[in-house]
Amino acid sequence: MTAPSEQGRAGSRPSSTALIGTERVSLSHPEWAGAEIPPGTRRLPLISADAVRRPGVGHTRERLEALGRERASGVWTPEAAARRERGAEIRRETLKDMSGHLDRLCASLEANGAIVHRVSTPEQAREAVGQVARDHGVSLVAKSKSMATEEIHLTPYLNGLGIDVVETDLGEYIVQAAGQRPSHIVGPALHLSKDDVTHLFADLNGAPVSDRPDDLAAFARARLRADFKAAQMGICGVNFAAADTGTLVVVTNEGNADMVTSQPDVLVAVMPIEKVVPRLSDVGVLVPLLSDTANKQFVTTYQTWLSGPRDPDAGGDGPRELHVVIFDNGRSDVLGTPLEEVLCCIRCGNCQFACPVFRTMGGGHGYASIYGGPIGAVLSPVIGGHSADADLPFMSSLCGACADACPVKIPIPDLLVDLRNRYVEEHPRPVEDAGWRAWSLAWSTRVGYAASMIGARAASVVPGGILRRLPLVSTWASVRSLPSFTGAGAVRRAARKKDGHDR
Amino acid sequence: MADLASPGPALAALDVLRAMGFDPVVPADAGCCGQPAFNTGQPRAAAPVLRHTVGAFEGCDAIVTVAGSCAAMVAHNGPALVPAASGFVRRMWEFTQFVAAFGAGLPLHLDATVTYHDGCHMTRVLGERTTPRELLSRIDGLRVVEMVDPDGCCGFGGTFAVKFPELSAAMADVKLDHAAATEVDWIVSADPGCLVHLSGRAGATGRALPTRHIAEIVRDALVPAGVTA
Amino acid sequence: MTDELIERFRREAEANGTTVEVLSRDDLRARVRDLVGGRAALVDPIPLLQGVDLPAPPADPWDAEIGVSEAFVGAAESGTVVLPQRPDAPRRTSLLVNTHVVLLAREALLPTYQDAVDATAALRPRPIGVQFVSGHSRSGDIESAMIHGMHGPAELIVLVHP
Repeated sequence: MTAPSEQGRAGSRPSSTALIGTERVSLSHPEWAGAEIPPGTRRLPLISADAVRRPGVGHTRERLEALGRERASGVWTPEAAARRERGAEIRRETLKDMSGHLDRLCASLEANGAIVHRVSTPEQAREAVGQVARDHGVSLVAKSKSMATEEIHLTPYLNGLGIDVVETDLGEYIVQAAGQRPSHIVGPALHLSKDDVTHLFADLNGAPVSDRPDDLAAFARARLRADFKAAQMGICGVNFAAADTGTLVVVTNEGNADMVTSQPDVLVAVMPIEKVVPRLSDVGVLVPLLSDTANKQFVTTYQTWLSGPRDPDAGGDGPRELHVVIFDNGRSDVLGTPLEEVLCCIRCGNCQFACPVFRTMGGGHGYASIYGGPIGAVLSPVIGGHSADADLPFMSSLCGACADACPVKIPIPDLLVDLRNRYVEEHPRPVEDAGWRAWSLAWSTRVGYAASMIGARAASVVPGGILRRLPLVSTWASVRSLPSFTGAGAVRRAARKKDGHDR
Repeated sequence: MADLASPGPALAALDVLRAMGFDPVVPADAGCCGQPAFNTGQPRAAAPVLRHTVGAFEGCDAIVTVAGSCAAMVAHNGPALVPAASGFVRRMWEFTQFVAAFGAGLPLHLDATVTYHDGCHMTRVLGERTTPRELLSRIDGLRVVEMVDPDGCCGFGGTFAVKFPELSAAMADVKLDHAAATEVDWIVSADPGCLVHLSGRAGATGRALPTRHIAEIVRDALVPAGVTA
Repeated sequence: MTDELIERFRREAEANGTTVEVLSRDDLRARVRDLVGGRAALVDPIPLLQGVDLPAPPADPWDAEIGVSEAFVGAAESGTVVLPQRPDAPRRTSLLVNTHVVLLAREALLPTYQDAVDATAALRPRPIGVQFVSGHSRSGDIESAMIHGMHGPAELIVLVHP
């Protein structure tokens, strides 16, 4: 372990330049937006009520709406629709033999000279990465974007080993410095305004900085460049892992993944199982599909293909050791069930742009989970340790914009209903369950239904003040005026009147 | 929903169907499609309710509903929940679809401006994006002004509205802001659920934004026999 | 056919902020010499540039301002150039610099991105790394404003030659 006093000594064990000044950061955030969600925080209705009132939420919502409109969920040009069909096919082909493709991927990676760590749990994944870092005496890691590393809580773990880990994607760097979680899969700092970033960088700098976006970027670039140069180890995510050739494909617009995967001597790539694709050729479909839905680009500026470590005797660059950590975290358990379709996700974030709940909450923090938005509401309850997120599927109006937006045709609303079924089975709630049974009984018989209409009409003469205190009614009435129940049953009565007898 | 809290659309629909020359019945056993329970993880509670309703309409040549989301529920989930529902689905029509198909000659006139809200389940689950506006365009004197994001969710979502009231209300506020900007006489939709939620929120926030179901608009537009439009 | 492809490539690449020049072999050699000038440069060993007077690399490659690489193939549909990594063609040539110059032979220009993917996947021996580049470095992470030049080169120049 490195004692804190040893860090930063020039020439010995480097520490991060880019993270200098984070102790000065004054940009505040609610605790449910933090880098690590405190245990016991999760009461979704309360968090969501706060989220819709968070300062700046209106501007973020408008930005998300504009990004969503630009992507026009549900509208696919003929070319895009064809690509979507093919992408959806490739992803489902992968599901049919996930373990076979993973076996082939591991064999190909190892044939290329990569060291593969195939593990189950986030703990095992973290430990595998930590071991590599310790074996090489690493004190500074430069990292490119990876939601998977968020899922396994990698950075705090490595910090605990005395290792500095710096996020090099600009958006990830911003939220890291601010002590927050990424808000959107592709745009982690979408919820922050230019002013927020200016104040943040001024805090890091210990002095004012220019508020022009290019200047803010230049500030970050200079700091991060120093860390790219000094880092002994790189950690990267994986967009697609081709089983036939053992090639990892990473896409960016900034070029940071190229830096992280070519300059340090040691590289660890971290991926959950569903990143595997059958053939390298498949990325010819999947990269444009991802780039279009994530960024409205034909392809991102950079795609990086990694097929192995460099020969230590040869010149050039690239890591001398390439490690690939492949973790499961509960995903295999849903293979062969309808929920397996969540493993088709290519992490484009288009569902998040399209989602009215996500937009109205100003991003993903209100989901109080690593993955937010529609895909998060399905993935979070599925992955290991999911009991904390089991109720997330209820935080959706099931509007279906996400299904329209999904480039690989994941039927998210149907999966949300499946998960709601599962939740009800696993979390019996005597009062609520009894209420539904009573409703079901009443409304499946003529007498019961008629009685409930009479009851509703009777309720309409109860003074509003009393009515509004009843459960359910009170929740409705807390934000909306009540409809009138005086007409309850009127439709039936009107029909009877018109022909003078019951049918 | 219609029967409980919003009978207006169904009563209007009955009038329209009669004007089209039909003799509509409301079977005594007609009830709920089961959607509130089905969508909230209680399919076992939903099934008997849907089965009861499906049984009620046996012998009807066509079944017309004024709730787009109910049509979507039954079409998308009905048969898997209650096998007999497949027959029901084959005879089922959402209101605007029925009027568009069989009411071509109906003279319609209404001097009003409206904006149309596309209810989510009718739009995305039933796949019906055009018929309501076609129907509105047939009404002489009616002007439709589009709001921003007409197919954006109003925030009702069934039990979502009571499980996440502030979030649901915030979504309604966005929709109401967009609707208010059109400065029309009525916000129109084909889903009573959306309309009850939106009018409830408008009422609670003191906004004068009247809502009306498309069946009521069509009924209002019916030209009495013997009167030229 | 190739002229159409080059025009398509030019359109797509320029839409992404890339500078595209179509030159004869002699003009290209002169152009590279002019672009590099006296700047700190990383230049991969490219047969076409043999004999051109170019400076030795700086002692620290991180001090380089301009890099010169040769593309394996290009894709007209997306304005992409493909750069396989070799011991004598390291990735730092295209990364550490502010201006990146890429030489692309006309015959190496393929119609689609998929074509470029397939051609590169078939390359033997398989390179340990490949970079597909379709423009200059950028980011949209600050209030969605498009920032020009993040970690990779802020300027990409593609020289197409016979």
